[in-house]
Amino acid sequence: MRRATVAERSAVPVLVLVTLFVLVVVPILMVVYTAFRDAVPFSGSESNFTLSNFGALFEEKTVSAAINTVIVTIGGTLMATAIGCILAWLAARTDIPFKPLVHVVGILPLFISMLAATVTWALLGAGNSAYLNIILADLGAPFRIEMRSLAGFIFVEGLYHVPYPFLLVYAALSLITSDIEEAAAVHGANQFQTTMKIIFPVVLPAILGSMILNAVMMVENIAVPQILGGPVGLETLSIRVYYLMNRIPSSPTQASAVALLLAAIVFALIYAQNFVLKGRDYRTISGKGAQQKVMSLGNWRYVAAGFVVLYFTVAIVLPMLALLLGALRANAYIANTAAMFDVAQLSSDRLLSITSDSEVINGLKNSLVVAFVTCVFGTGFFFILAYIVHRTRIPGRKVIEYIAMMPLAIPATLLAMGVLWAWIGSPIPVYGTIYIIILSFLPRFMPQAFRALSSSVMQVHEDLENAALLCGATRAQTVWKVFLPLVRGGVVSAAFLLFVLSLREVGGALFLYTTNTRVLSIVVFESYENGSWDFVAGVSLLYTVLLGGITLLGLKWLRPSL
Amino acid sequence: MNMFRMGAVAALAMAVAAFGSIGSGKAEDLVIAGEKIATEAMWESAKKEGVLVHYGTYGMDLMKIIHAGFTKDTGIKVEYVRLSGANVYQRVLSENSAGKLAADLVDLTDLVQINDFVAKGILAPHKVPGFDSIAADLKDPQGYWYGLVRPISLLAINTARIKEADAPKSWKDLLDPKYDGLVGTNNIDGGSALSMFSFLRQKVDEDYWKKLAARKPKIYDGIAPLTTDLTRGEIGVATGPISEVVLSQMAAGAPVKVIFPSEGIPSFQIPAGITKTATHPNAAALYLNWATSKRGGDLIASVGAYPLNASSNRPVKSGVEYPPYSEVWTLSADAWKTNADNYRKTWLTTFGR
Repeated sequence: MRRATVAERSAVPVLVLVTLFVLVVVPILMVVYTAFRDAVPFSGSESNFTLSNFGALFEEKTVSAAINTVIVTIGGTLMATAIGCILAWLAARTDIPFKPLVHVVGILPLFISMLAATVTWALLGAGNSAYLNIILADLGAPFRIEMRSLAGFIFVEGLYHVPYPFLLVYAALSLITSDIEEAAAVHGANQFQTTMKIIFPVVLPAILGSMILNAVMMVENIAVPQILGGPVGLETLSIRVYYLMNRIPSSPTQASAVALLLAAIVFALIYAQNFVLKGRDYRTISGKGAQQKVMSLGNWRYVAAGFVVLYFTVAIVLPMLALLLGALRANAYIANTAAMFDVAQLSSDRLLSITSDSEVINGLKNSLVVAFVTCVFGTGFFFILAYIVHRTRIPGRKVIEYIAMMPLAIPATLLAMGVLWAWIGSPIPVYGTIYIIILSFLPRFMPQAFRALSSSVMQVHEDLENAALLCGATRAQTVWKVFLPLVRGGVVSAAFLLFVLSLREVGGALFLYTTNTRVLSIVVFESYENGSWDFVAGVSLLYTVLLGGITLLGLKWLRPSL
Repeated sequence: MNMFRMGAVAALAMAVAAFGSIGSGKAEDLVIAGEKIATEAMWESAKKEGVLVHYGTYGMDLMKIIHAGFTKDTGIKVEYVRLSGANVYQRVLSENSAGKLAADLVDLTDLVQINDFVAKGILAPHKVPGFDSIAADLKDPQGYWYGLVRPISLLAINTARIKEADAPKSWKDLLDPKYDGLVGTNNIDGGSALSMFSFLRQKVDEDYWKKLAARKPKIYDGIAPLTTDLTRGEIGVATGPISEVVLSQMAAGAPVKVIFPSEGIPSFQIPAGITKTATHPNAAALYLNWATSKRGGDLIASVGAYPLNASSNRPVKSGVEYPPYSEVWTLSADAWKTNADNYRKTWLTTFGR
């Protein structure tokens, strides 16, 4: 067999790095550049170097907003991680009843956009006229719940960020062979000791990775502080950046400066994570077979099932009922519990009219095209990147890891502006087409997809690939025939994640859509801004049913069958 | 002649009866109800262009009704891209300097920004047929932009929280401590709130902001959360550009009611102009002519906003007739330029935002 030349061997990595540069780095560089200018690119004004944008960081209200951000992010991340890890462990390693459904529960919250989730929880639990408080009042309960508080922020963030730790930890857990657990048992460890000393350290990269991902997403989230915090004046850093972008006169240059600060925080977090994980070996899948042990819960099975049902009820059932009520009721006023379920007030006309609304149908078509292309191209591309970072010795590969997380630090609308600035002047005619939206979604969701793929790649030992290479397979054949089947679960999960995130994204498309390329999330967002709550509720409901259906169909591939 | 053809001929005959000009075979001026909207040349060129691309800020649902009326009258379709004022501004600037501005017509919510478009050479002037009869404050002196649509700000109550007898009747009533904890308003973000707060300061009470802030109203970021909380009774009274949403909720049976305060009502103009690089310039000019005509004005009024043409019908929505044109106050471009920055800063401090 002829050995590949250096040029041939480096062709793929070079192509990949160039693509990464164009897709992700250029839009980010546009934002970085803007942070140091007194006018945005393509504004028609002359722009000069300045540091004054960073003055936005030292505004009076920024300090209290920063403190709120820290409280909400830590609280929300801990809550999401705890629930996500418990669900992942139950689904992957125990004999809990209806196991496949536990998996569905772990990912279902992904289908509800943060906007819909927050509006729904405002209706359920903000103020005395909230659905749950009306019921509490009629029951004579001495207390009320209040979502318009930091505790409320933490609750909503924590509840809907569960899927990330769930997906990552589940993938990691399903890749651990039982050998190491049995070895621990042989040496006299009980189940608890095995879990804490063997399992926990092995899934640590997945836990830390998802925590960083969640923390940064919570720092950047706008819906929660806008809808729950706005009326009572409770602010976070993200809402201050949002105001810089959306108040008139808007100031994208200052927003860029604040985004740079957030990026610095993200870098510090990734560095800290790498420091914690340094020098350890997380490869658990090797050539030695992969039998998995299932832990018997005994009577605790029912307690565990109760926990799953409780989470499912709070995160999905209650909001879905609220959405259903919103979609079926002609008006939003509810006097008491009896009126809430008064059938005379309900009508399915509006809900049915949505299914034949041409805006909705065209929006859905565009959304599906965008989500499909983003999912297929993104999964392939980010998989290659994850492979390069963790499997090759290409110089500069570690930089990719930092680049991969950077889009998280940049607010969605600002990153979309970066994409606009990067492509609008380019001779490739993508601006104004549906492709520009895909080009905006790819960098936007790179962190989530890259994380999910990385933690899978890290767990497979090289010996399997080396064996294949030794037997004369090419690198491509090795990856395709040996490596990919081993990490199938992680790859499918990442693809699914990309698909769902693309379907519900609003901010990344706002600057870039035209009449013909309106995606469904934009149609919903506009209706929300117009105040048509019944429409928003109806479409959100249909969205969830659609995505829930796709999940149930895809469940077979979502569960890695090792 | 088969049934289908007979139906088609009947429809055509009805169309001719309705519009006089459509389907008559030879080109004519566009005249609706005796009012000349466009010359033969403009209408023919516009029809050849066939479509109008509009970047704007007014709500999708309502704009669709106005655009549908335009399409029905002229045969020209409208592609509408709806964005917030800040987003229209950035997007138009970016597209324009890259030489890729797709819009023929742009509108936004800030007069300083539309004048910035004029200064940067993005807009082209066009004088509509009724130019001279339009109030000076509602148009650019050269015809670069027109305040085509003017939504209003008013008060609205939830009658389950506040009895009609106890309802505020004026802007001043809103400061009564009996409404403490019940009042919600918008922040001074867009043109609508800026106009409302300018009105309150200039026309009602110089210290109105301080007095209102002392009552600690809930402050909402946008119309949707404000009106949702009013409808569900979380607040009892709301102020802002909320008439359209509140009236449609009222029609749906919610216990809400609009109140036109006795001191008058502030409106804010959504200024619209034709782009210099428009690929459908005649369609855009035709739209301006149409929207400033009595006919276009009637349609704008029917969705609950004040049009430019003062001979149009009064706005009516859900059976509620709005006050006469003379009671509507509009912030002028000059006042906007002088006060906007200062007002926004002062407001943020006063309300602790």
